Amino acid sequence: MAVDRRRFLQAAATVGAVGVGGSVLAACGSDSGSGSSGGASTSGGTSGGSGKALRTLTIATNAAAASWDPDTSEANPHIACWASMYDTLVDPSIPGGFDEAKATMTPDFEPAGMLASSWEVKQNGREWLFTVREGARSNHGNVLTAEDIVWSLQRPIGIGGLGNFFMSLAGIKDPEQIRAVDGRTVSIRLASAPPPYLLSLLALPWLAIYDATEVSRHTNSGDEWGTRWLARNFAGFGPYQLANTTPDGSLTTIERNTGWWGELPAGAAEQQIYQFLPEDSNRLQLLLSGEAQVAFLLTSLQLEEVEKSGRARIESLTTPATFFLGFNNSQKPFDDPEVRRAVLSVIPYDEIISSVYRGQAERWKTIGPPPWFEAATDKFWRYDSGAEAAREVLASVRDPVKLSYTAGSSTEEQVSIMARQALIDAGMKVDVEAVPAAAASEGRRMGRLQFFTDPWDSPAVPSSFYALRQLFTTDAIQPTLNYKNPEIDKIYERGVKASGAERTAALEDAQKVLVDDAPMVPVAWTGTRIGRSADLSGFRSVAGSIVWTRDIHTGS
Amino acid sequence: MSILALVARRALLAIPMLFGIVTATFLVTRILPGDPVAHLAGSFATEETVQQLRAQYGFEKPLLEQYVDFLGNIVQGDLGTSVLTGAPVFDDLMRTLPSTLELITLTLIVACTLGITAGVTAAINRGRKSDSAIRGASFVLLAIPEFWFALVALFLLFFKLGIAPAPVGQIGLTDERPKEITNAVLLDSILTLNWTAFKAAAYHAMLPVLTFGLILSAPIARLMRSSMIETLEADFIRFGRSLGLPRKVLRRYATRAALPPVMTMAAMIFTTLVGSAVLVEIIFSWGGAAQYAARAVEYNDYNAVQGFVLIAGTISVVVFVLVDILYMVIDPRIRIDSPGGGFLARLRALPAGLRARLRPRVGGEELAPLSAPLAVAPPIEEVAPRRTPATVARAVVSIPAKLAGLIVSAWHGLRRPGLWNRSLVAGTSIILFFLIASFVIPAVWPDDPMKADPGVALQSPSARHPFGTDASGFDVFVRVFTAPQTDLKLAAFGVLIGAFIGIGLGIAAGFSRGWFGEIVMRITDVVQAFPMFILALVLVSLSGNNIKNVVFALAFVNIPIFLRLVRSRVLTVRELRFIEAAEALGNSRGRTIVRHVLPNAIGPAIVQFGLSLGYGILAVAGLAFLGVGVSVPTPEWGSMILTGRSNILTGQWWTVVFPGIALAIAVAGFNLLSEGIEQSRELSGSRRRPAAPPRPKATPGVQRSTEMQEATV
Repeated sequence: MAVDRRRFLQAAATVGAVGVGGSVLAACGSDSGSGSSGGASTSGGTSGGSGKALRTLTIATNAAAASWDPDTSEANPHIACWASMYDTLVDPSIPGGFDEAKATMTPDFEPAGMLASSWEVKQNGREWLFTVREGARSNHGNVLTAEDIVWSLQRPIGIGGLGNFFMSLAGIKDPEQIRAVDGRTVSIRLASAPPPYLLSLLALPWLAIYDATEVSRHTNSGDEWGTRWLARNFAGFGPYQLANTTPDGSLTTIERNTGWWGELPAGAAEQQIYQFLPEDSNRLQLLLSGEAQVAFLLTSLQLEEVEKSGRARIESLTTPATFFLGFNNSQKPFDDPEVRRAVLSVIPYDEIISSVYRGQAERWKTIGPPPWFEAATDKFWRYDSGAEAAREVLASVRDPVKLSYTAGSSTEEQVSIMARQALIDAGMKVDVEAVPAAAASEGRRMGRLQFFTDPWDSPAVPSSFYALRQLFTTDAIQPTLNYKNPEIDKIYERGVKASGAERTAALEDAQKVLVDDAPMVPVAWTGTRIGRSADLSGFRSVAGSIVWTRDIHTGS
Repeated sequence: MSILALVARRALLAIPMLFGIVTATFLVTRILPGDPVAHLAGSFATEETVQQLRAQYGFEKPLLEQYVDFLGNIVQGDLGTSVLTGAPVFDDLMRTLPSTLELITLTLIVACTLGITAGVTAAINRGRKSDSAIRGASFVLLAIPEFWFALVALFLLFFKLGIAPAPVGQIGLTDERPKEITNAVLLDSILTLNWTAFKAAAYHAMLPVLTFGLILSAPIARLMRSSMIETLEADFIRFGRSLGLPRKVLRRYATRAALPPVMTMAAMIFTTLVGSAVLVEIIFSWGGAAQYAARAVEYNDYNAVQGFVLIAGTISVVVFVLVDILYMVIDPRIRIDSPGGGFLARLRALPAGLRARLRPRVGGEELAPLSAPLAVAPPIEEVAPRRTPATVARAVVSIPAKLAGLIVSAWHGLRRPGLWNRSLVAGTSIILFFLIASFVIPAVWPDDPMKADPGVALQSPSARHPFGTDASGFDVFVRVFTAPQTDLKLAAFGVLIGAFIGIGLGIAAGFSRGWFGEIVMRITDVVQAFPMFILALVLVSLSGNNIKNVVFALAFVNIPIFLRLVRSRVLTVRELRFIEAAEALGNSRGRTIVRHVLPNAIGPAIVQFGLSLGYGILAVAGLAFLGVGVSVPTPEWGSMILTGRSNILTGQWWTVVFPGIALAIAVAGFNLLSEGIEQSRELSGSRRRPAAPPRPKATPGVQRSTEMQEATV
């Protein structure tokens, strides 16, 4: 039947009327919606007294949980979310307080077990036997077995993701190195002596333990490791499980896994909501209005507002997060140690800390480990004077240098402005370039930038040796600085096998060489600072500067 | 032919365009510099992993083979897998696109409702106070950058007054969400009859929709006003009036007849918004496809960007088809099977069509728009002179005299009576003020615009720092007035390059009667269907964040605008008798184009140039707001707003408000300038025409061509 124009018009009018009706209803909704939102903030509030269980903990984050597969995702902030859902072999978390965190840096410190209730080291560290925790059940109700752990640790090698990288650092490159001795024991064999940070490596959240029985139901010949299914679903043994998530991952709710083997602190939340808000000012407002109880990645100025508000507090976590200016040590003019030393001598460290960080960061007077790591010392630092001599060196650099920072990062931008000003005042020619986030990250990682800001949230593994290996050895994990110094390689090799005073001496020697050679400008030790509701506690960190949210609870 | 048959026929016509979009998407993503595999590989990837990925994505194959694979995958609905989400891009887009479309649709409903109402009101009350008020308001809104407006609205309505909800997306954090069907929360709540969720979602949609809709209502109001004024003077309305039809009925008829150009613009806005909604989506954490695409660009998620560009282009084509159908519904005179029918054809015809309809009529016959050419055909002796050494030498010797003559003639031209209308004076004054201030103020002001003083960071406005200081301790006043050096330079270069290429191609496409013109226009159709804002982000992201790329991106956006504008003029001019005469007298094609076609076709492009500059400043600022283009400490309005946006909600409003106001005034200056030029041209054109009847008093906005108003969207 042909549709004539009049009939079409009538149909369109009907549709239009529905649309207009919708608009009117929308207007009505807008009048009364206010109450709805108010109710929302109350229900998620933290008004409960000390130890009273939180119904909902809302966290305003700076990254969306785009994928739920720990091994195919790198965006740091949302690791906080899935680290609450997946358990690993051993406990990866570090206490928030300085003294407690420092205590985890002693050479004989051993992390607590998680899904491995205990472990035994054989053959001079060439074989590790992990005993599987009894009574651990996944969110799908399956009991944890040795096969789950074997499958989970073989998976990173199979898919070649980030977990594979950490496994290779541990000396595990072949799936055959991991096997089940019996139903309750897993053996990991190493080709050579393990690094001192082996357990810390195996504790990283990227090496999550999956419910292999459940995941296997969703694999096929083209996807034998269940990558596609795990991107949108959850099968693990942690205290929380995925309740629901929006398609873009901007809003995710996780809820208690009632079958979890452990016990969360009294007052821990029944459910946690992770709301992605790209604008830091929006995260701040959500915290101050009480709609969120935790807000990540606020600027120092915004943290001051948090403190002033009286409704929320700053939570300072002792994490390795630092801020440095990186040189490309293989590129002119920074291939010359004299120029590098001169730059270190003119940077206004105290001014940056007071102005950019509003006093919420501390001086970092060494190069290598962050200040609270094993054997970190500032006794070799010598760049608080000598600015006059430095000017002569910097003025002699003919070509302008390019200082790159991440576009949109106010902290990096402000540090760049101050560093540029100081260097220009000293006679050096400096151009500043804003680089999009991914390009900046890649440029730093691959060592492509000449001179750059780096808000360093690593090392992910809490170890001074790992910190040295990450940036300063010839086979550095990240060639960010393009730094090569055979002396450091020798010290690392010597120290990594040593123990006691010899180990400490090696770490100090490394810092002496590095401070003298100045491969980077250590600007500040920032730690991790977040905004939180006044009555929350239980904050820890994981894998560098990521906030460990599963233990957050009301009361002290 | 029934409407259904016409719809089917129009849909078939869209297929070649879709094919063009697919091809262009492939080419754009392959031609752009940068190694996508290096991006895809992510952190800690070994060389082996990179090679595996290269093989997996087929990047080692010849380009043609890659293209065939690409087509094959698209036919199967396979847009690849997102690096960021690990999910198929098609699935991701199907999940996020509905919420963007919902935001855009609601915004457009608000913009059209406000704009059409205001336009009709202004037209009916033409010359009265309400008309002036509406024109003034729309003029101001046209110049305001939407991201700045959204930030200020949030500051006032959420932070200060507490009447708007927190910007957390489509619904409150702990509000009851409707069952997911389309993933557009408002729509889902209607479909599931969940009125609690509907109320909460409507409340959260209110601020983004109203702020965005208000800004976009301005160009619609201006176009509706001009279209309505013309329609109210049309014969059928006069006839109705003579029959004694009630005024209300006549207005209803007139409104309906005036709607088609507005629909064209609404469709253009809709397609543009699919990409440019990213600014509002980020500010309000909307979580739609535009935000997904921006995040994909940020994280170099190659497949996701490619998929978004492709889907956005396809949406444009679908919208064009839908508008064609609506044309037929609203105006029965329009048939797409008629010559020159179809949205794109009408879009191309708009400048000539709309402008022609605004011209006075003689005895019901439209005056030929260019019956009296601006450049008169040359005398015979000037035609095709033979080049000899003597003539060349004479020509060289005469250059200084000719230059002097040009200067004198320009000076006399500037002093021509009636040239300096109010708009032109105001626009020129504003631009000159900013230009002069950008050199004088930094020279005399005690603070260096490039030198930070952390000791005075975030000081509120005072006598010493009239606009306060920012987080780094820069004096905002001196930077606001130094910024035009960057903003105007970037916009001018981008628009100049775009205009140069666009005018050249437009003349070539308009003057050629063969396949060349058709090919150029089809390519232009495809280019205009792309989400330009996202493409600009991709360009800058992959090939480096420097201002050169911002200039290129701006040029790329402007080429089709100038091309269409000039081509439509050339199509008219080339049929006129003086062109025939010039060719008959032996002028070469090149000489005819340069001496006769160009002077008669370039006028609208000159007007457009001013508008494009205003748009260019907004675009530069919008890109800078996303962190693209200008680096610190170079003063630039958009990057100043970006830097200050963290401070506005902690009370340091001056870091955002002053750069935003300066930006809006500068854009308004360029809009005034182009309006003034247009008025002058109309006036000078009417003086040359013989015996033209008295015409209605020229009013700003009436004379503005549709493309010009589109350019300000």
